[in-house]
Amino acid sequence: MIRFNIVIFCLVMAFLTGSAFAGNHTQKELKDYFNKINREVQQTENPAQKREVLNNSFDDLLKAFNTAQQMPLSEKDMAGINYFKQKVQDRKNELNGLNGYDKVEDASLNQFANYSTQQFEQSAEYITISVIALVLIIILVALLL
Amino acid sequence: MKYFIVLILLCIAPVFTAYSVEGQMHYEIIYIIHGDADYLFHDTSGASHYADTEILKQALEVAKYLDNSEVFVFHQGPASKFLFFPQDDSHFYYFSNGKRVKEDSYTRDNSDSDLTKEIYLFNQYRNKDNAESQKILLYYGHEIPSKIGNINAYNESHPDINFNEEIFSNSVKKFAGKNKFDLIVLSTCNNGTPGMVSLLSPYTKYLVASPENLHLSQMNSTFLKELNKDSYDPYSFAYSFAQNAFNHLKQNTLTVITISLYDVEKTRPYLRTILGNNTDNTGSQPETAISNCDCNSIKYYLKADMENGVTVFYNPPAFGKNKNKKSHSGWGCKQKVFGSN
Repeated sequence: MIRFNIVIFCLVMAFLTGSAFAGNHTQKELKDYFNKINREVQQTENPAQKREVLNNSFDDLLKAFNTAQQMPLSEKDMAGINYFKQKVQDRKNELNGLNGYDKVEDASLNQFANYSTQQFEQSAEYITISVIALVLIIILVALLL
Repeated sequence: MKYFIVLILLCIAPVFTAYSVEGQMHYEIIYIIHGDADYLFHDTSGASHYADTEILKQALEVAKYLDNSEVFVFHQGPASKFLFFPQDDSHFYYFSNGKRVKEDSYTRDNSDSDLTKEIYLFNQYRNKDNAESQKILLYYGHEIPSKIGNINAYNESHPDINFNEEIFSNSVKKFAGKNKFDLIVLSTCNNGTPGMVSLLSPYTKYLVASPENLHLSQMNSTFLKELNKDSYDPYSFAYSFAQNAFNHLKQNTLTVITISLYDVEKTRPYLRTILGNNTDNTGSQPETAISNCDCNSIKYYLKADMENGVTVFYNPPAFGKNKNKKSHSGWGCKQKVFGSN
């Protein structure tokens, strides 16, 4: 319920005011989400379960980006979404050894989760504030359902 | 006899004291730390860190430690309001020889371009008698955009304050005054570009910057404390600073690390070949293309002398398509398509 309230709060702030305050909050939420997934991977013992956690989170993110792309957004916002979506898709392909990537070995899954978190955190600055709010909301709503 | 020796020592002591003071190197150091954006990152244990506040802490430690320097620290914070009234959002610290002489807050507004307030405060407190000091400027922030409004508004809470490479280099010019900086450090993503080196070339001898994404934990600056112990020539210091920052990043970073040291004078022939007199041709991107790459992957930038004057500290990413890339030219360019790494 608290997370849902944060989502609503960010939605209102980002779309009605477009303020930096909302931007910082939504970026923090997005980064905390990556960190939460990373922690879950580190604390899971079984490699198959680690893969499942990572694949599910990548799928959630991709679903959120796809949904966001259905909405009327500026060219700049679309570019931001495409950039981030490509990063997530690449990580998913690498995890599973698709599209020319070597499959991540079981022993390297913790390191891979750390790497993905660092890369997403670095990439987050390229997403426009309104898009971050939008994507975050969709992710969180998807997680809450 | 004993009194005679004491007398001689007392006579020659001032001579040695004067010599050591005169022979001591003096430094002028400026930290500009941008904090009006998202600088949150998590370490591998999951703990959260705010890069700008951690760099500020580091800068103040360095400033207190150096008893042979003037140190200016500027921390640009997000806009702050109390009951709709704007309040000071940024902080300024001035240290002289390890002593905190002045600490104040200030407000940034859209009346002029970014760094205007910082230049004003610098000129107000700077000791102009130290004209022969070695000068170092460190900028910590996100990628300085090549055009206004390139990616996002640079200052999240002050979207109306303009900031880009050109504004930055004009500000550097004002900080530099008559004498060039010995070293400028850009602890930002993707600013190790031909365009940025070209723009800063009139104002610095050496530049340390990253031509790639730089991890949010930023370039460690504690190596500046070494200035208290030894005299360095500017190149040796710049080299050791870059190497130290690289080693710090390597401890906890799995993404790519590339730190370039540019000997600005030696890079001129390459820059002249690829940029000519066109200062707008910065090797930077159109608004919608936001992926960066090694310049040696673009035929136009691949020239025989591109390595001249560039020392590269490089560690490939632990994963991704570039995990087997063994080296980097040290120059960053932009791709017009979305790249993947």
